[in-house]
Amino acid sequence: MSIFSRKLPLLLLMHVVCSTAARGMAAELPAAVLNVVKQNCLDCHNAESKEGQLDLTTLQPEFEDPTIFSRWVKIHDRVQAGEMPPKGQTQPSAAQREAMLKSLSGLLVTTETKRQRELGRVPLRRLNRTEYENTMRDLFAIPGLEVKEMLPEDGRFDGFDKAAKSLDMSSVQLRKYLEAAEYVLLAAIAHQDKPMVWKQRLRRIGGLAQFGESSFPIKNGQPDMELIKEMHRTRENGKKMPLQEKGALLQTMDSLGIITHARPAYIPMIENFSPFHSGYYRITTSVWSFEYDKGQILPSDRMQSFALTANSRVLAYLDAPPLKPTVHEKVVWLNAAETLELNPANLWGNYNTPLNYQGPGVAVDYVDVEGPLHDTWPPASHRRLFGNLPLAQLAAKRGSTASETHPRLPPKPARHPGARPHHADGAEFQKLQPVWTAASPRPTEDAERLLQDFLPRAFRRPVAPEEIAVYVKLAQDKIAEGAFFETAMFEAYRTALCSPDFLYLQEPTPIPNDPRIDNYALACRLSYFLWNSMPDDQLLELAGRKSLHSKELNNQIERMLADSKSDRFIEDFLDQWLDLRKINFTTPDTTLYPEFRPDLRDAMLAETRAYFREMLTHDLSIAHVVDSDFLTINQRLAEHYDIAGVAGSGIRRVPKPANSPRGGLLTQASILKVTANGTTTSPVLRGAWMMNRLLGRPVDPPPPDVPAVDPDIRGLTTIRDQLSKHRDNAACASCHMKMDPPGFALENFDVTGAWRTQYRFVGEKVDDPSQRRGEDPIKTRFLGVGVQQWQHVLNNVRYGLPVDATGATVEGQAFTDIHDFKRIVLADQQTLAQNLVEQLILYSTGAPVSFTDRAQVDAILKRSSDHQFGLRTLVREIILTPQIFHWK
Amino acid sequence: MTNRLQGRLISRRTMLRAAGVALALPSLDAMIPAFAREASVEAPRRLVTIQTNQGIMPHLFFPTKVNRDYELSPYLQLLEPLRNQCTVFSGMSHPGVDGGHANERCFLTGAPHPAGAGFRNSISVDQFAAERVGHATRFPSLVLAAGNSGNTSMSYNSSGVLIPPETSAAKLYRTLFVQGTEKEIASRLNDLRQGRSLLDTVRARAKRLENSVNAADRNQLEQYFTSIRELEQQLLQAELWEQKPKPTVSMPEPPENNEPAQLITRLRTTYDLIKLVLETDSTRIISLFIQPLGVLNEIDGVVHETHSLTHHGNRPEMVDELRKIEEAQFRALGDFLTSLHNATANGSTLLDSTSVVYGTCMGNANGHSNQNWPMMLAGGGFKHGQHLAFDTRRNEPISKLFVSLLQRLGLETNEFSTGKGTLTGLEMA
Repeated sequence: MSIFSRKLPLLLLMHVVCSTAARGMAAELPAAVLNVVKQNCLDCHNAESKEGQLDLTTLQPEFEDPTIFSRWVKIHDRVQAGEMPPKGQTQPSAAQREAMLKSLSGLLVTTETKRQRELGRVPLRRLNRTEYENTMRDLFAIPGLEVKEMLPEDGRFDGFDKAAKSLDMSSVQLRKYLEAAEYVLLAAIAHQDKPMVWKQRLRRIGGLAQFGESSFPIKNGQPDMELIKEMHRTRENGKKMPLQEKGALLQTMDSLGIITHARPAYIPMIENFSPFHSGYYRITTSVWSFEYDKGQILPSDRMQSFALTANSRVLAYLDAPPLKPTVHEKVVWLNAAETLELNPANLWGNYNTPLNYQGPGVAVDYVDVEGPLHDTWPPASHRRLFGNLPLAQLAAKRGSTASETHPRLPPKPARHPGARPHHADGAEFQKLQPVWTAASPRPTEDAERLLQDFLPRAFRRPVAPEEIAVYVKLAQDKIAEGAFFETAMFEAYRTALCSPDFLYLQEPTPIPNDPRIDNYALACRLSYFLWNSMPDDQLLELAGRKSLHSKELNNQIERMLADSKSDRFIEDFLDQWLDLRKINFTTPDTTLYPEFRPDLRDAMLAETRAYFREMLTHDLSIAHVVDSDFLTINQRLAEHYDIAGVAGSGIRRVPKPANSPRGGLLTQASILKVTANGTTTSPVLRGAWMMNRLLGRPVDPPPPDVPAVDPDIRGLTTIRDQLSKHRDNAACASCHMKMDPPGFALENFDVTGAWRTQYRFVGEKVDDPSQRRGEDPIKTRFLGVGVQQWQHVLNNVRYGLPVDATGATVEGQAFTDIHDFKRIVLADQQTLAQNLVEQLILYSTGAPVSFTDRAQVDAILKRSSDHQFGLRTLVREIILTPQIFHWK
Repeated sequence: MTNRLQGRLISRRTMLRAAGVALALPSLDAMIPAFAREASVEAPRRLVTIQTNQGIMPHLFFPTKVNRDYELSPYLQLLEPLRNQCTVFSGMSHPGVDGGHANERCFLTGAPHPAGAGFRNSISVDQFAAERVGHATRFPSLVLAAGNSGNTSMSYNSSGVLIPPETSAAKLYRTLFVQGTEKEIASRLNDLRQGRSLLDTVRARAKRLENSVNAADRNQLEQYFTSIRELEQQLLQAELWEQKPKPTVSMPEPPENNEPAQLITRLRTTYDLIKLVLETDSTRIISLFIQPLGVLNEIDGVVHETHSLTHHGNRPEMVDELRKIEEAQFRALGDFLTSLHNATANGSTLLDSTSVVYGTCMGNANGHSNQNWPMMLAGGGFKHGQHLAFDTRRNEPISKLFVSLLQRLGLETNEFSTGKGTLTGLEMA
């Protein structure tokens, strides 16, 4: 079985040269290499057998060719790892092997160093769409700006959308940049006088039709049963209470009770509220929870929570303690036309009414909304473009074209019908509105002044006067044509935002024959690494003073990591390193995992991010990838992990209970979820994931003619049994021996990351409950399940075959479970650290670790080993390594 | 006007050169919609490619008998009246296109190992065709999606970059058939010219930049220059078309429908529009990506999320429920094909001039199998009425079917992606 990946293309098959000796390479290859090749390799890797599609008789030592270069790197690595020549074949002596490796790596380093001297490690790189969005948000101070989805998806290299090589430009891409720039500018420019602050107390959650069904009035701490019965009564006219009458009742109740999670036909919208303007809004609400029993509100011992969302974007989780009204005040950014929802996060979807429901419930006393809140007008985004120029009102004339009477206006976002505030709430919300625009008494001078201010910020470096003049001329030509000042400036700004100076990260090397990039480029590397966005004024100022080195560089790393913008690094890096971006790729099957809801998913992501933040803040050792003595969890996750004593939706650091299989990234629910599909887990996929993402040893894809395993959830066979056939096949075994063991060790975790000792399967429909196959589920694992829903769970969720999480690593170390397995992995922390360093280098510089870079990686690891490869140390050491971070 | 577009290939470069030299309207004569031309002109050839991305259950799709006297499988029963307008394939897939769901993006490209590190897609067959015949119509191609998950299509340009789809039938209708007022046209023309002038400026800036960077950077900038050049031409074309009246149709503008549960309704509206697009010769190349995700409870008896259902683990009630979703899609397809079959254009049926490919990237979604894709072809002027069965262990490359389709469009190409030569057994009528 060959070890060479089929990923590599066939090489030089055009000419089959002399088959007996490596005549072609003899002249150029050093004897140390050539001797080993001749004695130990050519038996298999010759023109006839071409084992692993490698014919060493024709592989030329033309190291300048990148494909041939990478082939020789692979040869080097296989020999170094002792995988080649394979066991059972004639081996070179240790001295011969060492001499060969030394000679070959010398050649490779020489060639690559020469190339990097000429071309640099990283070519010109365009912003990816996440960087683009963050940059626009920071450039215009619009924190909720959403522009990412307007741009095509970026290419990826090794899971990351940061590599220059995979960030292409095309006419499609460019066209989208034109549209996106226009969209952003329209969002940034103010076209009206300061908007009024709309303030309103709202009481209804969900549709009026569901009032009395999914929600109900509470009076004096108890459900208003008379009213509820009245709502259910069929009247003489054959109809039930009209909606108008229901609506009036909302004003007389004390609180609104809710007994279901959002479900089809119950959308927990906060009345009809939908912002007319984007901006900050204050949302104040008072909420609590209870246990409900057919018309009675009772105390409960479990904290509930609400998810406050805008178009499914989570703004906050709000805790609702039992019987204790609790006020939450949140100031949040809302985009115009978004729909706000207040969703009981931990309740089950429930179709029972307050007449017969038994189970937990939540209550809302009121929701006050207030906004948009503007400290200043025009807003910051407008001032970034038009400075302190005043806004002046233009007359709104009917019947004349827009371009004659006012500059271009953004399209009105379509709000849902009946959305408030609406025309009856004030003159401002009526159809025909006066238009305001930046008024310039001296447009020519103002254009120059504003562009001088804007362009260096947008281009992230000083801009030469002749370059500024190009944009000034654009604006002035428009002004001369009679365009509005705003229109003229709009074109200049839009052009700037589509220019290569904005779209690409430029890294000039100002000193001839010196590979160091200039300080502005270094500021950008720092900020696109730790903030995933443009540098701020302080970084640019330091760059201007050429002060980004030694102590100051350290200060900046500390400052940047302390800034909340570093959350963007944590989220984006984890999304790509650990594939967390795929968290929504599958939804756990609702029949098999009825307890799974979005709050659990959100908690999973929050856990991993908070945990990585702890590692970063406290410089925690690399061992924390695999294990730890603390967890970063909230109540929902604590319940998920069988840990008592954690109440509330906020993530906090808690000690890990003895014998808990948690701790480390490896056994966090988020990772166990993204490595499974919605129904079943596969040791193969989880094992391959761990090899690739945590150990940095990717496995080759399966050969094309192998059929995939057909998963079975009837409870008749386990994935392990199904796989064993596969593993018994010698051809398959060589790879599966490497990648399956980590997956086996994780078999105790189901698709939601919960611990299991038996597999769940879906029960068949039976008339007699005693005829059900398998074992009953345990009710405490289904917290908050209502009495009626529990019957469904009993029928559907059955426990069957036992989980076997034993295995042995490819090196032959046996393990009985995840605890054992973690100990084995922890024995080699250098591998974990090396992988993380390599992933961070790709992420932060836009190029993968090259052969030459390996020496720098080794040096970084060496310098970090005293700190047990602490995460903060690794990040700092990468930034402080000139060859990696300061050289082109 | 002689029929110089038909049957022979005019290279896009030739066309663009013509457009660049003479901006006057006569160069547009070749682009007059087919129906405005004289009846003697042979019908233009068209290509519609459709993928439903959550799989088609193989045991309900593939017939067991082969060739002309194959029996209709449960799904093919739903297309029974069109039996002689269709060919069913088995034993086909794109070689090396694996990686579970990742392979859906290669349905039209055939680029191998989409889940691998550093994967780069290649041009999709619809865009390959659009680059060569697209100049003849108002839109070189239409890239559409009907689904409940995001902004993905299955069309990729020659750099392997995804082309975002149009997902709203209402917006599509307006783009295609709503003329707009003179002022709106003037404003759009102004926008297009403004766009070109913007490109002039940024090109000049990139040229200056080019002088100060190394060869590797220049390579990256080269993509930027190419993009500018191509986009300029597209804007020019758009300007020319902006001045030509849009076709008028009797179908009213469809309502905006974002209801996830009503995917089948939306799909049907999209099919109706595709028929209009073809009838009015607004484009000849269409790709449609169907993502039937979410709870499609508009279909009777469906209460579960589609993707979960596809991982049915062979449980009968889940298989039954999934079957309802797949049947609803086949019914919609059947009605669409029938409507093309009943429409006549230039003396033949619209279906005869339109190749419609329908299929999925999943041989069996339950196990994410990437072999033996359910695929079929309708119309296009081929000899139909057969089940072409290939080796289920060593699959026939789907790209060979694409070569057949490209040749049917009149392109002189014998190769596309991993396909060398046409598909054996599929002959032009």
